[in-house]
Amino acid sequence: MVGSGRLTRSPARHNPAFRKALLFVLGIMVLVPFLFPFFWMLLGSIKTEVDFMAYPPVWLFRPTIENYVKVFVENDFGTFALNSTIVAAFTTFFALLFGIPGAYAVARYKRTGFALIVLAARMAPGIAFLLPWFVLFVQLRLTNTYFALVTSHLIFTLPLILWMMIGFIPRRSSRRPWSMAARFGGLCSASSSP
Amino acid sequence: MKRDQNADTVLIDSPSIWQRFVGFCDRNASWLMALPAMMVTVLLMVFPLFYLLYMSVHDWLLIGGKPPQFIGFQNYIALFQDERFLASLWRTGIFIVFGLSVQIPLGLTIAVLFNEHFPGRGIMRTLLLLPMVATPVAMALIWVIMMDPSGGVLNYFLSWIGIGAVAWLSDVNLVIPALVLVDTWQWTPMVALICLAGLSALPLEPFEAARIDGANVWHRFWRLTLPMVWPTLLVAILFRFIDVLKVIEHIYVMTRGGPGFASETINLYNFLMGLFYYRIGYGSSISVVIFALVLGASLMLIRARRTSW
Repeated sequence: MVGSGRLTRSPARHNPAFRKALLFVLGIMVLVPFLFPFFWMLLGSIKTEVDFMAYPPVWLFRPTIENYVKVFVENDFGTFALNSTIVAAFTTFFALLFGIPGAYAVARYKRTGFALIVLAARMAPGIAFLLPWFVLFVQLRLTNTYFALVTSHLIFTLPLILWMMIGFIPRRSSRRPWSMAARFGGLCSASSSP
Repeated sequence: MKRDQNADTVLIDSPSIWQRFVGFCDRNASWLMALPAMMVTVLLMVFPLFYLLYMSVHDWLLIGGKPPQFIGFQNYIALFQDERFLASLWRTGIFIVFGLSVQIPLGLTIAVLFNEHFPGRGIMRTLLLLPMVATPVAMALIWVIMMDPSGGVLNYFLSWIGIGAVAWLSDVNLVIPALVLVDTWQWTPMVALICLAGLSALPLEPFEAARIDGANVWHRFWRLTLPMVWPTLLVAILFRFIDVLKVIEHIYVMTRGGPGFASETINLYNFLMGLFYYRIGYGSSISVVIFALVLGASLMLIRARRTSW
């Protein structure tokens, strides 16, 4: 290559293998601080209380599963996990139930105003919903129910589902093969009936 | 026979109730489809916001059984004479400036690095996102343990380079930097992710042209990458701005605004005012102010997206 000597001073930088090794090392160096808390969390979870409190921190120790036994047996971890699962399942179900037709309306019938209202509501800080909902739930005696949790989670899940699904629904201007097929198949009866 | 024929014609002339219903749905699908989501949005989001405005102009204590009393804008007037509120607003500003000036350059640098091709890049990119997807509360607890002044691992690392025990979370001057550190750890990956998306969409030709013309890495970054990735960076800045304005989870877990009020941000103050002191009316007026700030930032974000993307 003509004039390549002008581009770089050190020949090592031109060596692709060296360059890749350097980038790899840099990547690892970036990753270490971001992953260290997870590593420390895992390490702490298999330490005994004594090892956990030790200073300077011990790196070599006899691992124990005592903490995990405690979490699952002595504490009511199962109940909490079940609660979370119930809330997550209902929230997802309702968000999909309301969100997908909404996304269809936005993508197909260009209801952009509606989409923007939903987005604006999503951008509101959670604290703005917290107080009104808290007062309402107290007045309706709905505090400490799954219903209250599911509805308050819907505030954030529904806009997310709606905006994500818009991208997956073909626009009206496309030829809509499956929609046409559904029409001929008699799914939309009014337009196909005589 | 005749009756049957009659019935047949009737069926063709006037469709059954079911057919009418389906036909109605079919013709009006454009708004019927949006209706459930619209109703939920109005019920869950638009109505509470108006209720918030209503509460914010009342003197309203949730305990004591005194009925709410209309007091006009007195909550707002009191708000801007409330030193604790003004201090928390100032603190949030510092948090934003401090946090963004670390996170944005760091995120962009990481994005530039992970935009290069080298072995293990894919898995490294995925692992980088771990702090972002982890639960904030659990991570905040881990950071509390790591920042423990007497037995924390962070102080242990600092002792290697000869720095004595640092009281991360109980020093009035250090608590904000410590919380910014946690925020940076958790959200720099998001900045990097946004920048990566922007970087991978850039055309290759200008970079090749610059390389042939003899521009070095430094020049290529400042004269080419930065101006071209700027619109994306602006989106990342605004996203982080809005999020830091609303920051609460790890502050609540790690310090509850302490020591004293040294790490109390507006969102945390709002939360304490509403759900700890049950001063609903006053808390609502703080919420309205936060909402106005976030809305302003969001409008800027939408404008930035419209002009740049």
